[in-house]
Amino acid sequence: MKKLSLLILLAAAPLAMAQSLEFGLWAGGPNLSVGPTVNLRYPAGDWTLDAWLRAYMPNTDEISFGLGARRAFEAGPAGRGEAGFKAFIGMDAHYWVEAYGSAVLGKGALEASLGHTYNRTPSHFWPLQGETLGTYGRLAGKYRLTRELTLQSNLYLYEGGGQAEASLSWRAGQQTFTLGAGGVDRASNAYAILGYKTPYERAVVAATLRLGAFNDLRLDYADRTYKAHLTLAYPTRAQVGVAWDRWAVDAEVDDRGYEFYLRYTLPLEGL
Amino acid sequence: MRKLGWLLALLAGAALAQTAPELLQKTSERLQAGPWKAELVGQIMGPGGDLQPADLKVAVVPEAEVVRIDFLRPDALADNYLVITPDKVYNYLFLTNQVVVYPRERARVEGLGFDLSRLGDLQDLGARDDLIWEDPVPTQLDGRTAWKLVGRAADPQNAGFVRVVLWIDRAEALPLRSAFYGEDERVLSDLTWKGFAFTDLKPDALVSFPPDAEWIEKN
Repeated sequence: MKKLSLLILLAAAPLAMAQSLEFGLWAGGPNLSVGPTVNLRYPAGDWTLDAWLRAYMPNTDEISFGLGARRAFEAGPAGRGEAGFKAFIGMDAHYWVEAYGSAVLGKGALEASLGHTYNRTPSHFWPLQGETLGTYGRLAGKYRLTRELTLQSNLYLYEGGGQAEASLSWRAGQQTFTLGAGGVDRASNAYAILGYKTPYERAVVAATLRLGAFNDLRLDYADRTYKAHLTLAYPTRAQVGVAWDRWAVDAEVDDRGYEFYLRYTLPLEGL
Repeated sequence: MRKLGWLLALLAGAALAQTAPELLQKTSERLQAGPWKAELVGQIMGPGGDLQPADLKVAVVPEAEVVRIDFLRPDALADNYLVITPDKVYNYLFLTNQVVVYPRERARVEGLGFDLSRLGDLQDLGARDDLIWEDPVPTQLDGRTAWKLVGRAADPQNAGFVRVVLWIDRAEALPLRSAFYGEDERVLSDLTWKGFAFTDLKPDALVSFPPDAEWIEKN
């Protein structure tokens, strides 16, 4: 009995330190698989530590566990930066490591990540993450040319291909229009980017359309209570998600199957 | 008779003379009278230590102790804003659409070469015993009769500035201009108060953020 109490205390120790605990339930197919997820988050000043556990049934090889740490650098109204890493390991000896950093200072913002994934299982390490196999890198930048014009670019490189985008956003009053172009794998696989964002009553609505060699339409809605998004893409893929208060739910369907992910964040601060 | 007149005038002057802390207290009480807004225009030290043109919109609801500072200039900070409440400080970054939230006791309005939170708290400036104030000097500023107050920090390292100069409207008891200086008379901020007006602002109107912003809570 004493040993059991000690074990419980040891297991509960990280919980006592954590500031939030996210519980999730994931289900996916084509054949039904289910698995609970837990994300323990412990912010300590400028540091944030994360622990992730994803259980998986019926194939327990796909269970994965991850740890992450990130450090924020705050510069008040002038900007902020962040640098961190995360590492996942799975029961099939599969792994995913990623280092990332971001900085916004004055007129410019930059975000970069570099990672490597080895995974023979059909599932992701974490729902909705969609990590890339092999080595990959991402670089995203924003620069405000004027108060009305912002230049944006994205570069995503992975083994055997890549994707690049550049766009210009023009703010006219409360509305923002975006126009740009992108390419997948090679320059001839080009597509156009059109975006629009506007306040609507007490909410913000946004739409982004990519059309050409890459096709998708993303709609976003946010008010003080709800955040929702819908993505429709071709080749066929649809994703919908809603977040409210401490709850969030996402569902995705494509030609390989479906995913459903419900989660609840329990604040532990002050408990 | 003439001598008596001078003596009376001297005594009356001494009786009417106000010290800088008293003037600051009076001005502070005036600013506590109700919600107000003003535009502060001038220069402020940027993140790199260089002096930049500044244009800040300040709105205050004293009863709720809520302050909001919207940056119009410098260009690098345009559209960012800062909201200070009794328990939290919210820092909105336009470019990344993020709200960084700090507990008030931990937050310093840093990142600039100068702490903006000093601007609003005139009462604190007057009450601080690490500031040595010279006698107020009657002067003119932009055609208005004003008091010029000069305070020197006993410990500049701790105070964050060496010298502060304030111009207070004599009739309205409202600030007209505030300038803070560092070592070697380096300007940390020099801001002229414009368009001061009492309003019917409510705290909710100041503590508002884009609903699609990403929230980052610091502890």
